[in-house]
Amino acid sequence: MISEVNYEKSLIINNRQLKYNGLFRADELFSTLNRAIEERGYEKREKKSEEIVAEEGRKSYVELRPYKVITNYLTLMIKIKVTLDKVTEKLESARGEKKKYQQGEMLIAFDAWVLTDYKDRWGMKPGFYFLKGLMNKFVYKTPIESGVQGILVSDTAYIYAKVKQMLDAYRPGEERPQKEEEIRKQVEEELNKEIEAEAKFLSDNFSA
Amino acid sequence: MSDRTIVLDHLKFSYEGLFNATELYALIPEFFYNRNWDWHERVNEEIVTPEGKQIKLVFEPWKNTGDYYKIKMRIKMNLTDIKEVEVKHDGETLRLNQGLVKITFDAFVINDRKDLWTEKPFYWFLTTIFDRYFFKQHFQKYEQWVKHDVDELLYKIKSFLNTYKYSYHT
Repeated sequence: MISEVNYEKSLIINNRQLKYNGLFRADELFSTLNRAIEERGYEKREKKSEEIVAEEGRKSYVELRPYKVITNYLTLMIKIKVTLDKVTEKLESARGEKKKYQQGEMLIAFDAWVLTDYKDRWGMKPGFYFLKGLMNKFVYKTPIESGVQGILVSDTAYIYAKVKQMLDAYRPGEERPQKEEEIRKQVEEELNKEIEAEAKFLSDNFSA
Repeated sequence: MSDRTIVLDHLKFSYEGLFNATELYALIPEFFYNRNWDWHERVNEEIVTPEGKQIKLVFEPWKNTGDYYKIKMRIKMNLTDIKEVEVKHDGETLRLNQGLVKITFDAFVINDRKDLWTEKPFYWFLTTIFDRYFFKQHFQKYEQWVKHDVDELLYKIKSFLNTYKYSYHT
């Protein structure tokens, strides 16, 4: 198990949201998430689940923190927060069969983190650690370190696209459903733009 | 002292609504009994207030998996504002409880469970070498074992409370 406490964490994707309102199946949602997580080589991990049963429906919150170990000192983690609100159960017939569906509001928020643990590396001296941090930030990044951000963005976009495509299938005929590839490309571009904008903001405001 | 490695850190579950507290309380020891774990109830406190009962439970069941290793869980249960209510269902009156349940799970793998290899520094050094290079697979097996048991228990609790279940199966 990775212990998040001792890692240096950097937040790459901050609160990317996917909203949906209507019919869905909770078990299908979780199994789609699981499959997408597995396909990208992540280790599944559940952190928290909460449920409140009220008169207007159930409110449910599930937090997943799948992670992928890239090297002994570098790990990627995606925090997926699923909130289902005002959920009621409904019997609907699909292809002549009656099935139980859930109806309500859904919000899925993605945070993506790069976790590094260079201070625990054997032979890492404080001076070298400091210089490495400085070099990584301003001068040069090794190919693995510079590539992880792209991997993380593409993995998050992949999971996002899979879930979105699954949810689109619940509203047939409303509009032409987007292909998974299209959603993925679009989300990846948006995420990269957000990251670049944030980096620009930081360099404009905090550089000497 | 033996080493304790945490393999599951604060997995949280909470539920608010109607449930049967007695049955929920019985479900957990029964689960461990069926899996041949040893049972230890460390804390059992109950405070009766005008808002309802406030119950705090800490269970620490464990299982000896061999002469050297042992696996252990810590389950903290906080039941807040638990009231007794009567609900009519299918023409029958059911006595249930209403309130908030919060459960936190931790899981550990403990080596040198009999504390035999910590008497001398050299023995301790040997355990470190053996743990790192020879017993790694045993450790991983027990790690998976305890994680799997936590998942199953959580799944049982979620099924009992009829929540939307996240499970690791695809």
